[in-house]
Amino acid sequence: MAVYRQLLAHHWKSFTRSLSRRNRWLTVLAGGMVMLYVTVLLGGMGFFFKEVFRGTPAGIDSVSFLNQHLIEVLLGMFSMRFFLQQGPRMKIRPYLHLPIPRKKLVRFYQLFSLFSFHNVIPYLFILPFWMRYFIAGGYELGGALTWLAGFTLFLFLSHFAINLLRTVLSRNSFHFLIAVSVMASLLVIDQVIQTHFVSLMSFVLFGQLAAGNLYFLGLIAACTVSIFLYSSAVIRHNLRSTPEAHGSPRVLRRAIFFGPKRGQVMNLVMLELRMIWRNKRPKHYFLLSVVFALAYISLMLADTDMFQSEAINAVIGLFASGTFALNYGQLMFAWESIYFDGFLARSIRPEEMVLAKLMILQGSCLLFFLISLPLFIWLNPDLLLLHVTFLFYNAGVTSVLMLALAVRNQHRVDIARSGSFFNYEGFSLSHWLWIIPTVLPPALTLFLLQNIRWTALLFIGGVGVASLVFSRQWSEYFTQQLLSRKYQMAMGFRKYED
Amino acid sequence: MKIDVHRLKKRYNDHFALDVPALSIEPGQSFGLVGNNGAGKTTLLRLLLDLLPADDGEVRIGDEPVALAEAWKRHVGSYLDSSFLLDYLSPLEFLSFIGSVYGLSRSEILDRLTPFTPFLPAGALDPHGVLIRDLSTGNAKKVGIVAALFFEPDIAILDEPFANLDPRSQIVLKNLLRDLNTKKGLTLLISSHDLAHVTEVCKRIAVLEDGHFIREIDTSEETLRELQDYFAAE
Repeated sequence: MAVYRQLLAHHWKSFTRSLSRRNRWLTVLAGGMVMLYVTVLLGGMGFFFKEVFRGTPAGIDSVSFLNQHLIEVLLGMFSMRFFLQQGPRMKIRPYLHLPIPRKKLVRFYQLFSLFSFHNVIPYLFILPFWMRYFIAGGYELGGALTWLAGFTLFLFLSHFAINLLRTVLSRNSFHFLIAVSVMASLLVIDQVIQTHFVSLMSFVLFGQLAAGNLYFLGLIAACTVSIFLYSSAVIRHNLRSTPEAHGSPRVLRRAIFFGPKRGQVMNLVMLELRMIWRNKRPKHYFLLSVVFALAYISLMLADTDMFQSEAINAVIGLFASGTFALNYGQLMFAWESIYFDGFLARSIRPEEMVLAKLMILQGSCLLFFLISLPLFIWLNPDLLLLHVTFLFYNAGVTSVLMLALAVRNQHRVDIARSGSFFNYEGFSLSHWLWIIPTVLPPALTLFLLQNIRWTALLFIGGVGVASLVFSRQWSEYFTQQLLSRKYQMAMGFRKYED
Repeated sequence: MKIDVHRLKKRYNDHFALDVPALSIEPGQSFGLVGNNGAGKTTLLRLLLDLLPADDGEVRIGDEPVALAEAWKRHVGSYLDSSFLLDYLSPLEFLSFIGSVYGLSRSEILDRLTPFTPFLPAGALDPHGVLIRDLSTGNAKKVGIVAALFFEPDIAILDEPFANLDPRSQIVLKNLLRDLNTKKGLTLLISSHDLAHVTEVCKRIAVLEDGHFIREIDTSEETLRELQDYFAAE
């Protein structure tokens, strides 16, 4: 017990000291506001489920409808959490050389990792839903509790499964991305050919739990415990491998020669593309963007019953062609945080650096527009015009917004960090708040002008084209921003953070 | 090209990290900077390269204040630490990128790298080479130092160039730096903890302590002993 007490004390210190390093009041205030917003939004959706999801088929109550879709939702969350959830392996490393049994360390960190934001978020929706439709909805208390316990165990099962998968696949994320793509394709096929196998399975499993069937609860509990024990064993076995090792040195098939012929801006573009492709974290952002543009967008496009809102269409439009600009662009300059001093000290003109980044953002919008275009043609041709409109909007406006965020980056990012895919390194509060100016204007425009949709699309596309015309002016503006912030950026990038 | 430092001050919180009333390094001079850990050597080099804002005073390279202009960068080669390397490139890719930044053509890049081949790690200029991040610390550093020197700058600023290098490479580097300084007129500014190396390469040496220059010596046969006595007595 003394070991566990010590470990808990270390984490408490780490948590409190990481808070005091930053501007605590502002962080707590703004973070609290975002949390409040998310709580109200998800809580409202849970409590007013019947009113919000008006597409519920006649004769099916809200609980049955949710039961049908729970596994789909949990699978969707699973693939996103795979990238976002922090695994326990990195936290164990400082203790490995000490005389503490590794079994104890692994089990402690496996259980400790359950205290995660990702495990809290679902309850913001589930608990209000449960209160209204189970407790106040006439279900027996036993059934209601069994259902909630089953959901919790399912969540824990996916948590430990992610810890297991990340340990096994940390050296080859490509396999995971293929697996996710196959899984998403099967889900889309399940929807398109209307077999609804996943829905049926979900309906039976959670329906039995709601009826208070303890055998089903025992089955999920057994699965959860098995995954916990197995993942603990695999993590323990993998602790011997060095997470930072790059494996055998990679021999290039042919080195690229950067000559002056291409021009400095194109050389910088080529350099950044190489940085993306040869480093784990930016490469995962790229691959995740491809998965998002294909798998998630196809799910959203295929499920025409559930998503009929113009605001949702705005999200589809933004992410179909702008997914890479949104994902990768927000951390621009921070990607080069390790090399930033080298860039500043050399004769690289800041205006060329900015222009190269703008070109990458705008080019990525065109690339992802083309990648997702067949899906729009095949699954939902009605949204084709929206897709074209948002190509211009994303290239013109979203790219500029991301660059505006990028010149504010001051947190170091380790692009080669192994053992974790997406983590929060490099992010600050402004990254979360930036969602508002990025998503709200087009979503509001489409929502408010839904009766004159053509005008709305013309307006959104027009703003994008106008902004594209002023690309040169934008790059001059951001050059000034970069010059005025370069010292703060460089100082921030030199600091290591937990 | 001349380096001029005038009333330069840098403060971290309430503590003065550097306070240099005046420093002038003439073209073609070799200037060594020695001092204990935390003396302010890297801070001074960062201020010279405009990587830090000064709280007061200014640095001029040529006639340009470094904080207000960019043109001086075309004449200055520098290597302070691994942040000056793009480790996801191979040495050839990295050196060709640096060459392109300074407007060199492909043949010029390869020509100017030739004298540095004995110093570079084996296979560094091979088109099928490994990435810099797969090199050892010392070999990666050699690539960084060559990147600071091969494009024929007027001034070279190097932080701890001899640390992490094997004995043979230290000797090759010493000879290279001396040759560049005496034959090509390269102005050298080197910071080092290695008193023997710095006295062999530099003709003028300054001791920095708690952010202040406390001693300046023109190198002679006695300099090494004098410096060793100074640091031993502290």
